[in-house]
Amino acid sequence: MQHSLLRNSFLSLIGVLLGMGLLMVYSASITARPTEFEQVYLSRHLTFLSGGVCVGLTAAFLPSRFWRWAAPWLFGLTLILLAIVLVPGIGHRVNGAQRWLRFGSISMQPSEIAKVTLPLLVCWWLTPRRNAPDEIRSRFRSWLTRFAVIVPIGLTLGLIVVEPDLGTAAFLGGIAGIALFLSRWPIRNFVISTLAVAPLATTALVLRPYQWQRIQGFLTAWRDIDLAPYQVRQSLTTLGVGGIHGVGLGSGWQKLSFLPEANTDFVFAVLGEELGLIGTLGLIALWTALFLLGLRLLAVQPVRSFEFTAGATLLTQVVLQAALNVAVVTAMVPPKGIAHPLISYGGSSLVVTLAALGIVVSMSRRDTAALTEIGPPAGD
Amino acid sequence: MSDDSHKPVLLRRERLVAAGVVLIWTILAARLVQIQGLQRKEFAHRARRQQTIEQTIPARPGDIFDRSGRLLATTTRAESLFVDPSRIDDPWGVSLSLSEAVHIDSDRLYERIGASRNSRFLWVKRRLSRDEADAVRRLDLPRHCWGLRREYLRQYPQGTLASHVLGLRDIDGIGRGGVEQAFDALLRGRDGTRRLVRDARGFVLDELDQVAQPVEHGQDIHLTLDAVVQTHVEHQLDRLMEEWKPVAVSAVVLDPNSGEIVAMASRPTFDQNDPGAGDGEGWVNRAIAAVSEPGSTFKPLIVAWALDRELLLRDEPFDCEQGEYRMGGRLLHDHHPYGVLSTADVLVKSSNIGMAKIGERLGNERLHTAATAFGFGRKTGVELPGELSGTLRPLPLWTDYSLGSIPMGQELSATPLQVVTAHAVLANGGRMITPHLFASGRHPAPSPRNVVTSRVIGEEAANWVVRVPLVQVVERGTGRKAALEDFQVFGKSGTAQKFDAATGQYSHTRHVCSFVCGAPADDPRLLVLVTVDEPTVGGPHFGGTVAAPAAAQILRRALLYRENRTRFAEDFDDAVPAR
Repeated sequence: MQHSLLRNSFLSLIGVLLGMGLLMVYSASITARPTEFEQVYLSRHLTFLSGGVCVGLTAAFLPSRFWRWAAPWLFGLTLILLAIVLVPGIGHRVNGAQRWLRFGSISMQPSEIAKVTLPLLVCWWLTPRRNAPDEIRSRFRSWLTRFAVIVPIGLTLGLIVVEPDLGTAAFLGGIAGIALFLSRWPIRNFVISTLAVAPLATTALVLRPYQWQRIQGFLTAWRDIDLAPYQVRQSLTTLGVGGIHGVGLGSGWQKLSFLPEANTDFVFAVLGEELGLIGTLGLIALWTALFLLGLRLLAVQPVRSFEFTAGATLLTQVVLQAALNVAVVTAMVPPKGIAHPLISYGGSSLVVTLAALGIVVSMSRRDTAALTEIGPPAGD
Repeated sequence: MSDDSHKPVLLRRERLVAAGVVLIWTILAARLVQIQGLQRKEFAHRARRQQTIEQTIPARPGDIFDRSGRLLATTTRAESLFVDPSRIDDPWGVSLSLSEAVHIDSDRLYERIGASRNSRFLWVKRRLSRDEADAVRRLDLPRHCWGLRREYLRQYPQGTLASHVLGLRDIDGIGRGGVEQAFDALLRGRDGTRRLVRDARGFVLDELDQVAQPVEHGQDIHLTLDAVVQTHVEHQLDRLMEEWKPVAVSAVVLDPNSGEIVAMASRPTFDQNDPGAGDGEGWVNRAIAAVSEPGSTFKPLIVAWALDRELLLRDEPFDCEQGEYRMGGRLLHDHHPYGVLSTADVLVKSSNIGMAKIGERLGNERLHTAATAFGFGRKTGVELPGELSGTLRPLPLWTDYSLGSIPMGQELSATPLQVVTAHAVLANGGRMITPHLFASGRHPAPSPRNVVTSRVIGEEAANWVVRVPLVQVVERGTGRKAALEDFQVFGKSGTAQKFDAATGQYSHTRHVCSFVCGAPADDPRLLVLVTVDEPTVGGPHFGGTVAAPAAAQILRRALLYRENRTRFAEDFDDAVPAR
């Protein structure tokens, strides 16, 4: 009873967030001159939304053991896509970065998919299989095997860095870290990997001075907002205009042209202008509630189980992505193109987010099959 | 099953992650409170600044009319050409084709564009003619790098008529000189502002009426000038310039009873519609800004004042010493030798010796009082910038010499307007009235300048001087050339020797010839003063010979025109000399 109430609340929160997103995408797509952009964006968003809901529901209804079984395969598929996107002529280049795959009118970033499949793989790798014989369990506890998980992680991040998409790589690195952390990866391993990665990151900064400039520009912006990059200036201004009560839904001016990417990466700023501090803090409250409810929901699973770690990691991933987006919009971190999950207009991001949340629901379900020990699903 | 499943759900690592996420959200919430709560005014101001632009709505300068509503100055629209230097890809080509279309120097334009490459706006030429604007349009230059903006263009439909009185409006619409400057506040109006909402690309989206400052267009003003009389005055001045080749001439037509200036002109002149032309000599309005000794035109003022104060009798005889009179160390001469002359004849014959004897009777102090009473040494107060006050030296600087000099109009200097204003006191029965151009009563607003009326002398003395000696000046004295068939004219000539700074003495060849006259003598309606500065050809150069005929002609036309318009108009046509 308690559990289904939790789950219903969790699903309702997702529904509220999706509704807000729908409103904001429609409002933020309004243009200065009368056009049909907002209808076009709204209908496309609705298309993706219905697709995403289908994917999410499917993910939620699939048993957790399916995900456990599929984790390595899905990850393998992701690696292939990440490799394909780098092939000249197949991957689509935007602003000097090769991040997109196009299928007709639909385009998607393989790195988006990695946000789901990489945590699944890490948790699959590090958590013991239920019902597995003791010797296998001990094998999983061997230090070397456990440390070897950084190979697929490194491979994924490496492919994304090459695109280049340092921001996403860093975000994925963080998510993988959370997965490792929740999977009881030993602290000393963290220390070792940090020591190993630090020189690499330094070299990257030296070799790509423009990244360093971006960080420096970000730091100057803190001292004097007039020196800040255009989009940061505009997003802060947009938020500030909203004040406490906001100018009213649909009445924002900034989105009409001053604020770039109003309906995607900076949709949060539009929300801030139109709904004010009440709206932004409300959204934060929704995300926090979603996060805490999700954790409660997953708490039915054993703490070190695949279900709990994978579910918690995916949940954290989605919520952290929202937080990262807010941090970019409020100039707390250097500018990075990142969508606000469920709120931004965006095809593949929306679908992937709903899939991740669907998997969280799936993970939170007590696997009756496992409990009654009917047997592992095919292939496991 | 593992022991873990029975432990309390959230263990250390899970709690750490959960606490971390909640902490991040808390920080972000605090940041939002900072941006949207504490700094919201600052950002709102920033947004307003970038979303709205203020645009000036220029006020249309008011029209200037003459006393009958004829248009003297008006405002039309013309197009001005600007470029956006930052968007010109081919500065040389653009300079070349634009300069050809609007007739300016292409090298100069190229330099100017080059010097402001980073700016978004540069005037190329303002207030183009219609042909020039069409030529620019035909060039078909890239649309984003140039534009035509409509601006107001001040025009003077009567050409150069009354140019000194009117002045002009400069390229920025500010009144320079004349009435345009004097009544600038009234004429110019106040520019309004419009606040427009724009988008990031500069497109105007909306107009915010509630914060716009409405434009206040300039007011029309009516002058006391009469364009027809003015036209006639200017024709006469042109004729004088041709006949006597003087340095300059000026004329004022004044209504002595009201102080209204009916006409005022000065030569050389300038063209308000083309202010760049000319050598700059023509800018001076000599009626108010050229001073010279008034000479004999000053004499009747002293006589009238002395009569009024009963220091002099109308039929008193003055021995004019057969043309030579020693005054202390100074020998005075009359032009012709005279014996005993009556007070009236002293004026009719313009006897310097007779005036010197009147001066001796009055003494310096009274002479000074009289000159001051008639407005010498101070501005008349006409509503024109640049008026000079002439000189009336302070009494302590006067010497015995002054007793002889002042009564014959030396040792002091005045503008033509001061002289004609002083004579208006005689013509209107003894009142000093501020000469003015602003026709009060025609405006909703009160007159911007006060017209002051004050009594200087009694009516009796004033009327006698006008009706007896000054009438006789024209009938049988130095002003015979001013006699008219239709009207009884009164007047006084003046011939002042110019002071030669090189020799420190009065010049015997360089004169300022003037004639002031009015009519009809029993009820003077108009006064005319014509001043000819240094006639160089012909001769002899006296006020009565050089200035009197023109003054009388002006007076006659003006009076005829005022009596009966149609008759004057016919008369006027054949009276205009071919130019």
